[in-house]
Amino acid sequence: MLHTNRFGNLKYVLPALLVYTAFVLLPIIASIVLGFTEWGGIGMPKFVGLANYAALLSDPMFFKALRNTAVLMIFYVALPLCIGLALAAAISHIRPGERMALRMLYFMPYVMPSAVLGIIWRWLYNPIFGPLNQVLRAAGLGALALPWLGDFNFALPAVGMVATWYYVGFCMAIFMAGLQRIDASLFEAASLEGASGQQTFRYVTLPSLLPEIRIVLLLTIIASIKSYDLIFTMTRGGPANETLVSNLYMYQLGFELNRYGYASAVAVIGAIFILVVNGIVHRFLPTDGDSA
Amino acid sequence: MTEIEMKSGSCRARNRGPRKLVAIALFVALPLSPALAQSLTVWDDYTPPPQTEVITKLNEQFQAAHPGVTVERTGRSFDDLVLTLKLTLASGEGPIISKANQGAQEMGTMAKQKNLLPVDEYIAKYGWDKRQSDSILARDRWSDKGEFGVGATYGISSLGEMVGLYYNAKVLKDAGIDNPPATLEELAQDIETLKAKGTVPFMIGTAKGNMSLHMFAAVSQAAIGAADRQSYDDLVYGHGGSWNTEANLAAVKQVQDWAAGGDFLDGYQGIAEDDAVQLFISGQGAFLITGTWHLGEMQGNPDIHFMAVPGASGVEHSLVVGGVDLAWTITSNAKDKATQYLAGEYLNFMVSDEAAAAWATAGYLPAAALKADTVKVPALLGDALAVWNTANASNSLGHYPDWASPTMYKTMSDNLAILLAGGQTPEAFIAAVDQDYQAYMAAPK
Amino acid sequence: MNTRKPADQLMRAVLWLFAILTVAPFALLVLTSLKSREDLLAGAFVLPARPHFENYVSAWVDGLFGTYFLNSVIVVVPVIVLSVVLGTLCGFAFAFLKLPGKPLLFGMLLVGMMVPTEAFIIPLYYEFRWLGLINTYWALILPQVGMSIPFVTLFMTSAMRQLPKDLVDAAVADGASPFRVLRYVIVPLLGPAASTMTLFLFIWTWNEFMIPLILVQDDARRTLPIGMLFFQGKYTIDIPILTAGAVITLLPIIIVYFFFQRKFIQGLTAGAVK
Repeated sequence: MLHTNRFGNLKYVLPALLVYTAFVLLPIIASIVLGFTEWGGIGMPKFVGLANYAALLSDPMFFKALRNTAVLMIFYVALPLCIGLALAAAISHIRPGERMALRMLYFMPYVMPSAVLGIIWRWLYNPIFGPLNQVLRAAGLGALALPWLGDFNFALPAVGMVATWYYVGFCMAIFMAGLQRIDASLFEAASLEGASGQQTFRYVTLPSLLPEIRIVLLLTIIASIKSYDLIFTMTRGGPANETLVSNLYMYQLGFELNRYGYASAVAVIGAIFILVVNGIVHRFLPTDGDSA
Repeated sequence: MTEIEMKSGSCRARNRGPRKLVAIALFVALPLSPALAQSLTVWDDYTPPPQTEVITKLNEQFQAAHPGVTVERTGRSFDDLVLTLKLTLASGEGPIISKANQGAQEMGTMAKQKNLLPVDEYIAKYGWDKRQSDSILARDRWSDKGEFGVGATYGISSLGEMVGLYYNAKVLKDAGIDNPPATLEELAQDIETLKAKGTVPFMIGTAKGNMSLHMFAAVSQAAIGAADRQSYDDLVYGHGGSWNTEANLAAVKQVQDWAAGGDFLDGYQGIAEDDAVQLFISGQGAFLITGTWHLGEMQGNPDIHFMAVPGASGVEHSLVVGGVDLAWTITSNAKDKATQYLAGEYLNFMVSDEAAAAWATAGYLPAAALKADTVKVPALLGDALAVWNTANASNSLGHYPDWASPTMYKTMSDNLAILLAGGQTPEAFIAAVDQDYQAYMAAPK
Repeated sequence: MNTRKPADQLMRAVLWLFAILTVAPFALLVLTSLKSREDLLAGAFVLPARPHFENYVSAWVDGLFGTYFLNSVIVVVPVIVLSVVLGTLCGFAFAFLKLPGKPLLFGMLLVGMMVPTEAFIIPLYYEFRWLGLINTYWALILPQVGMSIPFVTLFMTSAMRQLPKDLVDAAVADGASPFRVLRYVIVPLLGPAASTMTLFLFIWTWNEFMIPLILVQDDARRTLPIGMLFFQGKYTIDIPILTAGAVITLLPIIIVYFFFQRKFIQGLTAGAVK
């Protein structure tokens, strides 16, 4: 260790911690405090104890938001994970140069601002002017040319598909990196033993990829709980709250209806969910010696 | 108000003595210029290109009449205004003058938080009350106790506004219909005729909820005669009452029947108002229920006409949804007298005969009566003016029902979406609306 | 592995098909941005009679995308510089120096990495109101620096710990002060880590949505994604200009991505697995 003046060393961390504390940590604490109050944005917040949290338990809109998030997890978590895994496995049979080119294309949506992608997809989904329904009609599938984002049954999946599109390449890239990490001798042994492709995947690939699966689960579940940008730009929660999620609800309660205390309680619950997911994924998918 | 006071506003915080001298010198030199090098930040919602053209021209005229004043205009869509005006004013930022939506969610909240300044002083000074009727001005009033329709006045509007029935005469004729429907019953017949010919009866797009809300409001108020309007006024002005009325229920049923009967454009749930209007102008659909704010674009197709939504037969002087467009307001950012005075001047110009003529020439409906023969009125505006004059003469200008509570817009548009999709009975819809309203009435203001 | 088998060839074809579908929206975007509104009615996939580059001029000037673009740059650059500098100093202390309450400080930073912006945006908004900094560049820069610091710090700490120990030890043996060790021994070796960090920060800040949505209402301070959102509200029907604006928003990212894609993907995936 360099230098033994512990307090003198604080000068290296103070500038960063100061900015961080002022604009992240203090607001987080304030949010927790605000969650115990009723506040309309002016005057002093009124302390109400756990009343906001009690009200949340009987708020049908909040449960609707949770239900929607649960459905969205199919599209944010399950589909990207499965498709990403399949793509990574399939792509490993291809020459490296071509493999990299494919990976670049699949990964592309992930670097884009999701808010802008939402706006673009709103246009793609437009039932009259949008390209999607034009393609469907041209292909003789006019019956499938739905009003997508305005349809009670399809709005949520339509938003979800955009999330799937967004995360597939990311998941695939993580799994590709994972596959390279696996000892090639394992695959050779499997093929010597006469294992089929499926068997190899089931008994060699999958178990070896557990650390990657864990990280993909963690990131996509958190992304699904945080989902906001896409929905704000595509549907604003409509039609009739069919695509409402908790962060959007927090926004409406706070910045539209001036119920900042209640909105903070919603925000705090969202953050707690994320921390819990973190804990669960770490606990139930342990890996050997990995520090994540 | 003296000239010196006004100048002190435009260049305060400099050393006082010389400034005063300069001010006096200028006062002598330019007795007619009200302020020196003052910039006026203005937010408005005139974003459709034909409206932008008018407002840009008006701003230029205002600047020409007020040397040294620059109008810094920002055009914002309705959504943008609703999303940002309250927040920005509350943080002591933003424009000096802004358009603001009447009703509890917007103007009511901002008046309560003292982010808007009363304009009563200017009403008296410029005589706006002689140009616009009291029932129109009442829509901008909020009392200190948060009552709607009474107390100080917080704004004034340039344009009259009505929600009515646009129809495409050519499309009707092609289907063998020579005259537009005079009653709701005739409208129902026409719809059947059109459907039989394979024509889309109603153009509509409900992706944002406002078009279905306007349709419901227009149909429900068309069933109320001017003589029976009191209870509806009471509802919207927050005096209490119930939404569970025959007219409301019948209107909800009617709108739901249209949706269920395939009378709307296929895919209407996925397109927004602008899309629907564009399609209608291009000749798709026979009818479209929306507001006079689209008059300017609609005249691009000469086959399009405007009329009041027909009421049931037997109703005299049916209410026509509307009133005025978003109001011009002076915000709390007009801190000193000089700025406030200049803002008052701006508002006065925006409701002047000159402005009215400019709007009418472009095809839009001014709130104040047009001076006869000063303007060549475009044909479509002629239709609208006829409805407007009748409505004003017979006291049958109705209301936007979403003004009734801060959450009513969302409650109505959300539940209408469910209703149109067949997920709710008309009775359940009315119950949801009433629940929202009674909760607001019961809450402390 | 054998790529000549018909099954593998089929797999390849399918992979390419899906890859093309994945990027098809971007191609469609560029195509549409070059159309006139009349061309649009002919169908989404029909080529325009001539490319309408004037859409880009309209978007840049009338649509204010020029302003938004400049704002995005004005915000992104200081966020990157401040975050990397502050995070490197902080990471150095965590990697090599003794600090009072180190685990506590570390835990404090971890909180910020896990709690999403949405959870504290309301107090943050009121904080900036109280500071009188709503509608300023500060409102866009400071919170984003604060939000980046935990990540940069942890990333830099681990990058520094992976440096050859002998180098640092040799410098210490020569009697160099910690700052000199950082400046002359460690920083020159941090190039790869710092450039990866820069890429991430660029993309996160360029793409940020919530902070500019809430902390800025003035059109003159809006960044590209927010400008695009409200442009869409204003001109829903002008799809060619909307798509031109989208291309302006996405182009810098696409360019950076194409040049650095390996670094990007490796960084993002490795960073995720760490």
